[in-house]
Amino acid sequence: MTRSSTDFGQLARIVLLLPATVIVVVGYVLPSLVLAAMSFGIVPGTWSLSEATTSHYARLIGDVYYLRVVGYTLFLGIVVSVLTAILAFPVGYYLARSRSRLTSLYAVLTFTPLAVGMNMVTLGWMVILGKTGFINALLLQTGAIKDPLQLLYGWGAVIVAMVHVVFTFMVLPIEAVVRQIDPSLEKAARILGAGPIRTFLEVVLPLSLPGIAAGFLIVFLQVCGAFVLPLLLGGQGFTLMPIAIWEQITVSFDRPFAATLSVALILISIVVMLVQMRIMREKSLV
Amino acid sequence: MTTRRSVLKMLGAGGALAWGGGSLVHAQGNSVTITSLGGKWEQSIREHFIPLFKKRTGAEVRVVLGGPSQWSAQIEAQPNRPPLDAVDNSELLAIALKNKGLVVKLTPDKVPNLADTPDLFRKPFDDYGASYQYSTSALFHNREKIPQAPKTWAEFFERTAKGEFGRAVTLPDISYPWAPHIIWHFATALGGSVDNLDPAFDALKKIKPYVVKFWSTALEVERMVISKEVNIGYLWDGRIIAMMGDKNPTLAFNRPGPNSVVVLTPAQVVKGGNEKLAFEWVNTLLDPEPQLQYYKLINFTPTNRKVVIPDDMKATVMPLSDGVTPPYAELAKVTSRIVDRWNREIRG
Repeated sequence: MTRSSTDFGQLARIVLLLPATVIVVVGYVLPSLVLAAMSFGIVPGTWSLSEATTSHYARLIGDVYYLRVVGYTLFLGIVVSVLTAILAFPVGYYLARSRSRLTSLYAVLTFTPLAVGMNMVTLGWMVILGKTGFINALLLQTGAIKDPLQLLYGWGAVIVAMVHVVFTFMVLPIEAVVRQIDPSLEKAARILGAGPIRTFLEVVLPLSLPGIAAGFLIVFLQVCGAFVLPLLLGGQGFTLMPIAIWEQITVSFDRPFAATLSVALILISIVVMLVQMRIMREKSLV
Repeated sequence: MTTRRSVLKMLGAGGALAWGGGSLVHAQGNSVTITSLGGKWEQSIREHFIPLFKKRTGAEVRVVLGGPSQWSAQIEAQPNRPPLDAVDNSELLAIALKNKGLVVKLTPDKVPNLADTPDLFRKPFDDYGASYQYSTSALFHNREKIPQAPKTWAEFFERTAKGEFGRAVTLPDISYPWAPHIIWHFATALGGSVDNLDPAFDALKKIKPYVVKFWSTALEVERMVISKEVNIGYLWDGRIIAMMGDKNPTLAFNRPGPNSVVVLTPAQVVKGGNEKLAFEWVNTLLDPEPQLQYYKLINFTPTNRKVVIPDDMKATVMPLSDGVTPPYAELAKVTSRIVDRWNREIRG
């Protein structure tokens, strides 16, 4: 290969990747840098470093309330991710293994939360869980309860609705990975005397871990960034980081502190991503 | 082969393109970029105000949906080439933009309808904004469950704290942009002031166990009323009136004493935008003819003195003498502390 053809190939690669690069730089890199600058008190426009301060970070770390907000956000992310993984695995396994004609229909049903969107799902759950909603109506009709239950505006409502919204994001990677597992491995385990539970625990589950991990990461990040659903379905004492950011911008007009909370949320996401990549890399080396 | 040098070249090219690629859309020539909330507000802007504006000016109108904090941030981000020409703002943000020199003073020669707009709707902003509508605080209640509504705010808090209404009460949350106004109002109605908000927070702490949800958007209230989650709560008069009638036959409202807080929507002309058309737009917002149509749709009271409210709607209009507005400058100074205090004492 000549030097000129190598240069041309390099140039072609640069040109073809340029649009995506522009989008990443404009849509993510530059705004993130501006956000980081704002979190240190630097005003966009003036960009004066003499205004830089770490006081906003000191406030975040030193205030029990905001540490609790961070804690609630991580807690919700973990709980929803674990629950979704448990519920989504059988569905993903079924979609990957089933030869039934109804598999396509089940696949479409699995995709409906994605198609409908978080806002509509939220409104739907407000109707279902309300005092005059489906669940209360059923319980009242059957005589199980005398007065309607308060099902909305708490952790339960948020977790249930959140699992519904992110369900597809867990099913898809699990299904993709399970498809790649040779079915004969399960058959071999059964032939050699392993029961279905042992086959699942010692053959299927370990081989499915990359899919579960990928789904876990996507779901965790989605949950940590969720705004509308926790705002509408959550109750008092239920502030998550996106809501706290919203309050700082729209009520306190404290954009630097809002930027600080945003940077903290981004850093948490990056750390979780790196931890997951490290764990999966170690697993693949074993 | 992909090398570090080729990746850096790519990022550099992308960054250069991005940097030189221009900024947010800037209105030019015979068009004006204005703002609107969504839903019925957008409907009214498009059906009632824009046609009159176009008839008078022949100019095109571009509507940017969103909210005051978003629009104010956009204006502050590009002060030399603002992406908006006119903005409907909240009171505190309107004053903030004025203090930063980002909006232009309205004068009767450029905005003739200003002369028919009472001082209450202009002077808090030194004429750097004028409100074309106002809403007032009110209590809605289910008249079957609560035949006798509280006549004062003090009575409301007292009866709620005793559990008379059960766990079926709703009030605004601190995440609602006008929450500081409301907390100030509660404080003053209970004997406090902008410097002494203790009466409001003490009252809120006492009634907290009976609050189903502190709402962040009016949509939540409407949902709670329809699904019978609440029997009494706080909302703006226009929103309550819109919910009443056949849809909610048991819904009633009143304005507890001693007064109601009045919330304004100051329309402002952005400095450096298409100021000529923006002045015309603000003048259209203050015009009595579309204001009356707006009122019939939204039920928020128009501000132009010349608007003739139909007789069948007059009963729900609050006389301005019964309304109060916060000392905005002082309120802006304590807003951060209000948020912090709410987080500790009400959410904690």
